[in-house]
This record gives sequence, C-alpha cells and structure tokens, in this order.
Amino acid sequence: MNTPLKSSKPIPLTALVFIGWLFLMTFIPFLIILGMSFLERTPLGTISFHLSFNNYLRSFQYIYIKVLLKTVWLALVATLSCLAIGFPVAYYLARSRGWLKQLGLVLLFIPFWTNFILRVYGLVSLLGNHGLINQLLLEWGLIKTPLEILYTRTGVYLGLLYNYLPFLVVPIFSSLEKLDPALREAGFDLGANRIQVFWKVVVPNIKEGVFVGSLFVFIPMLGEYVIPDLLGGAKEAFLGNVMVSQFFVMQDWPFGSAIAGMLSLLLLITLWIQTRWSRIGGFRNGIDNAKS
Amino acid sequence: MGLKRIIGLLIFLGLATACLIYLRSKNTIPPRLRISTWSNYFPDSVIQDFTSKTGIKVELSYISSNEELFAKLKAGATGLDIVQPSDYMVRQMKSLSMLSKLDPTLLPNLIHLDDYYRHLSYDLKNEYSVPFTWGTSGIAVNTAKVQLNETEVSWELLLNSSYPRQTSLLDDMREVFSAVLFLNHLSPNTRDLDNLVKAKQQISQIKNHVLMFNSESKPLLLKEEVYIAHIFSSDAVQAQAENPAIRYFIPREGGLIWTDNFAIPVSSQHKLQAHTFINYFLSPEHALETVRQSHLATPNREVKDLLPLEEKNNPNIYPPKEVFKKLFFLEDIGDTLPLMNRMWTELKS
Repeated sequence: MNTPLKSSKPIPLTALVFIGWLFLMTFIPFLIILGMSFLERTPLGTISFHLSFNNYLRSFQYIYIKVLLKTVWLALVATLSCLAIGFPVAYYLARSRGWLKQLGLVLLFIPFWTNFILRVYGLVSLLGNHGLINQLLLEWGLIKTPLEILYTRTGVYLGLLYNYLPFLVVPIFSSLEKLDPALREAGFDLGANRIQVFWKVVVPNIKEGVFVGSLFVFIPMLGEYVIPDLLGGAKEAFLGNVMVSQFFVMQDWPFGSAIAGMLSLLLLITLWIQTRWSRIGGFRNGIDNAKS
Repeated sequence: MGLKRIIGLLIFLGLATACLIYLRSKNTIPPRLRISTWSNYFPDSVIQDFTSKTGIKVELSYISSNEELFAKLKAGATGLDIVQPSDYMVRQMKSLSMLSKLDPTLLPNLIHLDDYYRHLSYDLKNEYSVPFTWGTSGIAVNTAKVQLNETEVSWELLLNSSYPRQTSLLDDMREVFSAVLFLNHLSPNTRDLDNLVKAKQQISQIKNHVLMFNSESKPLLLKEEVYIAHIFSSDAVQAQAENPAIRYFIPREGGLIWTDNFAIPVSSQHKLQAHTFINYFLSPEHALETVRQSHLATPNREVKDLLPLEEKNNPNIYPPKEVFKKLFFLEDIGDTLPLMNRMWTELKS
C-alpha cells in the first residue's frame, strides 16, 4: 500500500514523451474548457472574457439537474444489465479451456474491428420495422405488427448494452483468471456447496474486478451522446447531448464547458469512491491476513 | 530529478517546431483553395474542370450544419478560403466581422443572378455573400401509404399525424417551432413569448407521439420506416426520384425558404483565387451541372433557363408564384433566441 511514489530513478525518456503527450492533448484542453466555463456568452454566440459563475449556477437549474439524474439512472440501469449478461460470459470464458476460450475472446473483440458509428448504424438496420429481427419474427408468425424497438428507450438500452459489454467482461475475466483454482477446491473440501463456494470464495476475490469493470462502462455511458440520438430518435437527451448541443446548436460554449466541468466532477467523485473502496478492501484483507 | 530531462525535451521540441516552420516557409507549395462545403454539393468532375481551366487546385472539406461551420471558424480554423453559410448564418458571421467584403469588380457574373436574390434581407447588397442555391422546408409524404387531399395539405398533416409512429420531424429548433407557428397562423419569426410558450406545449405533446427527430429522413422515407417527414425540398426531390410515390408539399399555411451562399472568411490567404472560384460558379454553364445533380433551386436566371424542362417546371423545386408568396426567411429574433433554446432543451430533457 505504502510503496513510495517518489523514486530516485529519473523518469525514462519514453515515459516523458507519453506524459508530454497527455499533458499537451488531454490536460491543456481540459484546462481550456475549465477556463471557458467561467466566461460569458455574448448575444452573438461568441465568448466574452468576463469572469462569471453564472454558468455553474445555471447548471443547477431544475431542467439540467433532471437531465443529470436521468443520465445517471439510465447509465446505472444499463451498467447493471451489462453486469447481468457480462458476468456469466466472463465466468464461462474463464473456466473454459483451449480453443473454446480463444474463440470466445476473439468473438468478444471482433466487433471492435469496425468503427463505433458503423456498429450503431448496423443496429439501426437490425432493429427497424423493416429490419432483420422484425422481418424474421413476422415471417415466423411470432408477432403480428413489428416490435417498436428502434427510436425508443429500449433501443437506447440495447445500443448501450451492445457497445459497452466487452469493457465489462474483460476486467471480470482477468480477475477470475487470477483466482487460484485451489481456493475453490479447498472450499469444496471443507464442505461448502457450489453456491456457498461462489459467494464466499469466488465473489470476495473478484469484487474489485467487478467494480472496475462496472466503472469502465458506467463512466463512458455518462458522457454518451451518439446512441441516444441515433437509436433513441433524438427525442430525449443524455447530459452529453445537452452539452454537445450547447457547443454546436445553441452556440453557448461557456455553458457547454460548465456542463463538461460538472460531468468531469461527477466522474472524479466516482473514481474517488472506487479508490477509497479498494483501499478499505485492502485494509480489511490486511486484517484478515494478520488474523490467520 | 528529471527536470533537466524535461527542459531538454522542451528545447528539442522547440527546435523541431522551428525547423518545421522554416522548411514550410522555404517550401513553395502551390496555393490550394480550401473550400468548406456541404456533402454531395460539388461533383468531382466539376471541381476537376475548374482546376484544369484555371490552374487553381481545390481542397474540399465538409460540414453537416451551419453551427459546425461557425464553430470551426471561431475555434480558429484558418486556411479556409470559401465557406457556404446559409442565410441566417451569413447574418451572424457578418455581424461578427468573420466574413471579408467581396469585390464586385471580380464578380462580373453577378449579373446573372435573379434580382430577387440580390436584395435579400440578411445581406442587402451582396456585400459579403453570394447566394448559390436555395430551397424550402415542407412535408414529404409517401402517398402509397397515406391518403390525403393533395390540394389542401396543412401542417396539421405533420403535427397531428394519423400515422404518428411513421412520422419524423427535423432535428432543428427553428424549423420545428416554425412548423407549429405556421399551423397557428403566426410568423415563424415571432418574438411573442405567450405564443412561443403555447407552441412549446404543442411540440411537447407531438414529441411523445412521433417516431423521431431527424434531419436526414431521406433514407428513412425510402426504407418506408417513415411515411410523413418534415424535410428540406432538395432531400424530398431526391427521394421522389427513387420512389415516385413520395411527394413533397409546402403546406397551405406557408413554409420556410433558405439559401446557401458563397462567402470568404477574413482569414483567407487566397482571396483573389476565391473570387475566381465564386465567379466561375456564377457563370451559367459551370453552375448548371452542380444544380442539376443536387436538385437544389438556383437563384441564377440563366442557369434556370438552361435546365431541362422537368427540372425547371418542377413545383417542388421552384414553387409557383402563389406558393412562393407564402415563403418566409428565418430572421434574427434577438433576445428571444436564448429563451427558445431553453424551451428546446426542456422539450428534449
């Protein structure tokens, strides 16, 4: 836990290049956005260099808080759905051996060979009234009228689920991989049944992987704006859509920046909870180790 | 610590940049005219023709909305020599001094423009912009699926659709508000708050019934996912060319008219060549091909004369006089715009 961060060795040049890149391309633009959020919009849509906190006050108005809460709620539901589907997948993959495991992993990653936007458009052609799914169901006589999936909230959920699932499966998979099979066997030897082994041996050892995986999908979902537009028919907005429209439609860059600032704050809080949580976890493990 | 290394790296980067700048200034790259345009506007052959006739090389980049163009220019994208803002965006860019004044002596072909398009309210004397194409916003209907009385099409058809799950609205605040305001027999440029609040309530009811907000409904019409679409005339005419059952209507209450223009940003380094380009596309024989392919209307009298009959007489592209009288440009609504923005965000949240 207390490994000293200050190392006497100089930072290698290769790392410096990377740090320099991050500084230039991530940190500085972030500072620009942050700075802009304290400025004002002129009636003509440009930025006036006049210090003001109005943008942040405005973002606490009812409609924006409502969008924020809705975004958090939708992302939470989608994350939990991802977990419900992704966990068994990761579990199965981690326990299978040989070519089956390889095939599973390859299948999981094949979609990433295609651009994200193209995959979303692919979903559009699958889910529409004249899309493959509805046409097949109609053909087989399972439904009389096409299912309304596209341009509804269900469509948005499906899009989120499909696009983010691999990001959740991989961390869970790798923590399951690291789990020593001997632990599970020991559990059985000591008389636990399968369910008890799962909850008392497997879950405590991989909960951090599950949490990290969930964050990997929850955080980008909070900033999502393409999926609600393309699969939800642009009828309701995520916070990301409100933010983007401030830049490209309403021409209110300072307010858009303030929303971006709020979103970043929300992400930082989530990350902070995660590190805190894992630190407590580490502390407990330490106590357990000391006891044994 | 690594401070020396950091300083070393900074010096190295600085030197590398200096070298690059030096090499670039030494290297005499022939000037390229950089044009920001809408997609599917200039066919490749037309641009190649221009280069072979004038020796000026052209590089096209594309925008999907006026606001995107504005954002690009404002964020400091220099090097653009010609931009194509629509009417209201010309007004906005003009008032922010983002456009450079045109030199009429370099644009002798201006005389070919129809008189009407030389005195538009957003740029009364073509000082900063030259209209290149125009069109309208109305309703496209798949008449094979929807029964309607073609002489009496009203905005009611869109806003109180009998096929709501097959209806789409433009994803554009001013367009959607205008549709409702027309239905209420009001000006699309009204600043009256009570009327706007009422329009907002109407939109919020419509929103829950219609399929979606979408500004590219042509493919949806063709796939028959949508039967009734709020649409730009050019898209509707293109859809009709592929499926004759799709018809375009400007509702009896009136509709919006818009123009796409040529303008030169102040930051342009090649203003002379930019004028050459604009003048070239004001000449009838060169504008013809572009106009024919896009099915947009031309403000150029001579070009219109050269068009094939079925294009020239297509009422969906060139509305007849009595319809034309009911077309309005979107005007600047000043302080009302932020209020409308807020209503739109509320509608979408």
